[in-house]
Amino acid sequence: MIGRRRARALAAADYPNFLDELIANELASRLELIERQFEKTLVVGQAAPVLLDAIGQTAKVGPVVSYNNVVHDCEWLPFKDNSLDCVIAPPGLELVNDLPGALIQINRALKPDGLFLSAMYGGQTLAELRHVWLLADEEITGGASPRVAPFIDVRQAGNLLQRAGFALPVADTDVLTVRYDNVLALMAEIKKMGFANPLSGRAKMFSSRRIIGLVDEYYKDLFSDDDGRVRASVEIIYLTAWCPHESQQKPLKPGSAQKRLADMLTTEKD
Amino acid sequence: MNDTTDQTKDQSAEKNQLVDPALLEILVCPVTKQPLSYDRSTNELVSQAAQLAFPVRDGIPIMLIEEARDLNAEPQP
Repeated sequence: MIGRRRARALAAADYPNFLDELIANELASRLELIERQFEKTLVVGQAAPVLLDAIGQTAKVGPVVSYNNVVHDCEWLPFKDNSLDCVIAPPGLELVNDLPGALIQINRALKPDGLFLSAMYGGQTLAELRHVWLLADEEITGGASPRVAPFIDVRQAGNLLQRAGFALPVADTDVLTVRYDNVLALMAEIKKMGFANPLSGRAKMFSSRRIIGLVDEYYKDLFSDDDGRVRASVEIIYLTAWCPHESQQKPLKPGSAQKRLADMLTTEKD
Repeated sequence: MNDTTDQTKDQSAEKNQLVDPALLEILVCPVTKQPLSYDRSTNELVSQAAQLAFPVRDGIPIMLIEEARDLNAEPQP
């Protein structure tokens, strides 16, 4: 669902790409820092053109395989085991139905010591919007409705990578604040980015004018600045992990120590 | 990436675009992860294991299950 919407959104002339630009630059600079050359690189899923350009310009990668030259589904990757040196996943991968399955497939497609580099939207993203919808839904219908899709938590992200068989996973986050005139402008922009509510359990009717009015009001009350503009948080999680290889550092086996800790701690008196 | 743009330019010259051989080397069937064979006559990538044929459009393999042709299905009248 998200895939189809993203494709349409990316092609639209009024697509807001400030986040894509930021993420593209960050991913490219992280790639630059790695002292390696990656021959076969895949950008998985539907990437924004700015990301493909930024990655291509790093001089760290050979010809890039992307949605533009192989149309693929992140949950059914058509790539041979041990065939890729680097896989880069822009935001969107976290929204597939089966993220652990997609990560396992990426891990298998990577060569040993291959790199997985990803950016995902984290759990704090649109926390304000979720909160306000909850208040408004409760007031009007007396219950909650899934309005904002859940995003991935940074700790879960690290665990998922390990479960998928990656080695040396590192996750870090960046929280940005984006400001809008009002909540309607924010929601319009989310839609333009192709990230409107994809949940199957969402309310299947148009939101009434009353509830939208309430959301607008609550958002202004709770999350506006002095100048009347409203704030929205965007959390970006950056993930780096490697396909296991024997050259990578590993903890020693229990019981393999050469010296007793007690010997090190007791000071020699005699 | 340059290959794709070149191929798009040559589109009028040759109707059935060939897939970049470097790409063919790493592609497998998305369902079974088994090797694919290229059928020049239909311009499809065929997975015998899954009995699916994936179309190639303008030299771009479309590796989506919903776009693939089921080899066991009756031919369309």
